[in-house]
Amino acid sequence: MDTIHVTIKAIRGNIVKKRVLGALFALASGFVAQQALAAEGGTVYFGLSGEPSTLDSTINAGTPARTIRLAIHRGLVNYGPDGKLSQELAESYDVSADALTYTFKLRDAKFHDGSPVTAEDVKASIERVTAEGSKATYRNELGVIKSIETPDAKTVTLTLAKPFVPLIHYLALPESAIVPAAWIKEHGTDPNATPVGAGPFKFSNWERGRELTVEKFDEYYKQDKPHLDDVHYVFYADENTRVNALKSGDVDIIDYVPWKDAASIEADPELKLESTTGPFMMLQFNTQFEPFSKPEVRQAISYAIDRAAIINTAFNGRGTPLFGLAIPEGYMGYSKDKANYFSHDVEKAKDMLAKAGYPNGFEARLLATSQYGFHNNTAIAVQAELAKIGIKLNLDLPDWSGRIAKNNAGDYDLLVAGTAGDIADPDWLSNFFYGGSQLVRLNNSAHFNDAVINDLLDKGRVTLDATEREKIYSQFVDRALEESPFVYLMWRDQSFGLRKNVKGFTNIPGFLTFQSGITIENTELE
Amino acid sequence: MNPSIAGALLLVCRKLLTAFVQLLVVATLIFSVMYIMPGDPVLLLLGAESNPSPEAVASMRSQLGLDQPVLTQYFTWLWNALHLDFGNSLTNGYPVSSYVLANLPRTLELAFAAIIVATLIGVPLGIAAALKRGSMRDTVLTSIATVGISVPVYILGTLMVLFFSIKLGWLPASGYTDISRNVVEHFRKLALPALALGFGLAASIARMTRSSMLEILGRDFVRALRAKGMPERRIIWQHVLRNAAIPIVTIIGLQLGNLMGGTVLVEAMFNWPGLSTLLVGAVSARNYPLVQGAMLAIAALFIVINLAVELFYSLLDPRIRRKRS
Repeated sequence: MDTIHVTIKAIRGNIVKKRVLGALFALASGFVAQQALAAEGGTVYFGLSGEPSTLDSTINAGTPARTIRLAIHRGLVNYGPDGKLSQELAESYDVSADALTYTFKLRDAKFHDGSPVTAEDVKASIERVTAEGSKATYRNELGVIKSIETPDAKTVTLTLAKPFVPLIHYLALPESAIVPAAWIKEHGTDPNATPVGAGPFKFSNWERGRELTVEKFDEYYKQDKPHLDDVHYVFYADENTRVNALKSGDVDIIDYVPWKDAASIEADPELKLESTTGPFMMLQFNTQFEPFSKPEVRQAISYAIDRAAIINTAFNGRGTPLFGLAIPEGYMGYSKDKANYFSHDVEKAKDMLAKAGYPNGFEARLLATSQYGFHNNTAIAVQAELAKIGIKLNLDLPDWSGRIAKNNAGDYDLLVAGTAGDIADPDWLSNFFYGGSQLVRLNNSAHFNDAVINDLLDKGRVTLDATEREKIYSQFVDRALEESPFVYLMWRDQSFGLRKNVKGFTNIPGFLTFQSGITIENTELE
Repeated sequence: MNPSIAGALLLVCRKLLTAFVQLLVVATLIFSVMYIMPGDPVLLLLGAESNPSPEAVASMRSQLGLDQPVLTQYFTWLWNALHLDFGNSLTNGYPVSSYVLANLPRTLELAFAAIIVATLIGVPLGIAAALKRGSMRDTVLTSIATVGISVPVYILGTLMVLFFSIKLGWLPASGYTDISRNVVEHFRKLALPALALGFGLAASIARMTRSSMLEILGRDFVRALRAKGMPERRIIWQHVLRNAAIPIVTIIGLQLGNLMGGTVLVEAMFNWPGLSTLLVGAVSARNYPLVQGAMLAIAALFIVINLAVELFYSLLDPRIRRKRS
């Protein structure tokens, strides 16, 4: 492996020399020369921000785990580099008019163990998620599937208990991967079993604490893919170490580029930065008690905060202010008019606060975490901004694990959160806004439960007609702005850092940036 | 029995008993600290970014034995630990001992490499400074030593990475290659962390060497040797250095234990997969058994090294042995 890496470095050196020598020919022949150098094969070292706790394909154990699993596994459908649904193991699919029956036609594909991908494997994989006592992350969402029929080896029919339009998006998530039925039977409950999938790379080796290696699967169902021979996912929990590893050429790609290092990577002639603005930062509220039970107070906070202060304090200027709801442009529910609903207006904020019965402000506890600088600094900026309208915030900054525990227990007045929707379908909003039976969750504002919002979200899930759906989510946006259970702060840049000779790796825009690992199948070295 | 051998045995027994009690206290502290800390391993295990159902959380909790009373967990753990069974990692069920055994030698290797680096740099510098006391050379070397002691290891490490890896491209910025796979790469990756960790120590060794040398140089027997007409070179190497060596050896030995603290930062900075890296990762994941195992291993290592140094030292210098027994 190391010799290959050295060779690649030598090629890099050659490219530089060629550029210097052939200054005149650079425009004309440089392109051709690079084309000639673009060879099949090679090894990519991919620096990840952490080591997965598990490779269980049904559990969302964070972005590093997803990145690796997206090299090993494929689902019926997945999200492609353009952020659109792409047919993977399913050659085609059909949804009945009542959105109750989904029929999939499978393509000819093989698992890494050499067995063909059949309808039985699909059935077993989905039932593994929906089974009684399963710990699958999307068990509730896929739980709507009532029965799975396999009329022949290449056809799967899912029948739902009730219409559920976003289902296809949940099936596109990395946690809906298809694995062999025989593997599930034998290893389904063993967290250390060697994963077997139908993806472009097969699992090769996991040196705990250091790196996980996958190697090219020769019988992958896409012609001429993947390009690389193998990928080493190396774990770098420390962000500075990760950036240094990229700059010194120890690795070719890194995820989670720290905002402070984005500019230096952009400026480096050997490196490039792939950025998108998918994830967002927001404030969640415990709406059980005053003052945060009052929508006017939450709105006042939204008016009061200068978004630029947060972007500059916590993100080195790398983000986009968010004055409306965090719906990415191009997603259903996005509207240009409402994107700037809450412009920065301190006087208006003071007025609203006075009308709500707090002319002199109040004191509250802001939960964030000291473990991640951007959470910590967002909290500090919010504290400073809200002091201007008389709200005195006391910071509560445990480590990440402690913060999650408090979040899940509803033990906060307001809290800094940084996240993204799970899917590109507007039903991602349910996870955040829906009230229902479990009122204290990770991603909702504790105890927020609005009948109008619940009703609109319910309707959105069962309506297949796109125009009709668009209307429902437009109504939802109006109501959500009025109630403001969240105060949205900014879209943050989410970046990968790459060496210049790495081609084909794409940062998928919008929420799907965390699933960009799938594009390793297109990645090649020049 | 020879009274001095009996005395030595008694000393060893007493030291071992003290070490055992220390370990027990540390073990209890380690166990309690984990349970005082907020944060839930089960939620992290089931994916903190998602929303695990309460049933899934409860079933996972009982599967991991985390629903037992804390005291029950404590005594079970202590009993097993006495049998060198530290339980299984919460995240994947691997035995904690296998993690600790894999990472322990890497931490030791780093610490020893740092000691060697420090000795190779520190002792010659100290001698050089002492021989030309008050000269320009002495001033420069003493200043370097002062800087070396004052600069925190993470700043020094970062500067080294910037210079040797990013600017010059001589050495890898971080990582680890198993010696069985590639010997050269193994030592290339060991070089920077060992240098970063060893540099501060080199500075204190240089200072200790200098002052110790100066003290001996001022003794009467040195004047006598000079008067006798012995060549200066021979005086320095055969007489002065040998007499100055004891405090130097002591400081090197005692620093070995302290180096364990330095490895926490250095391992993180250079992605060196030792005990500290293991520990830090396990703490963020609230992987209780792994945290306990790793901390216990670090504490044990510290205690054992200090014990060994003390025993070795007392064997080296009969005066100490006699005084204590």
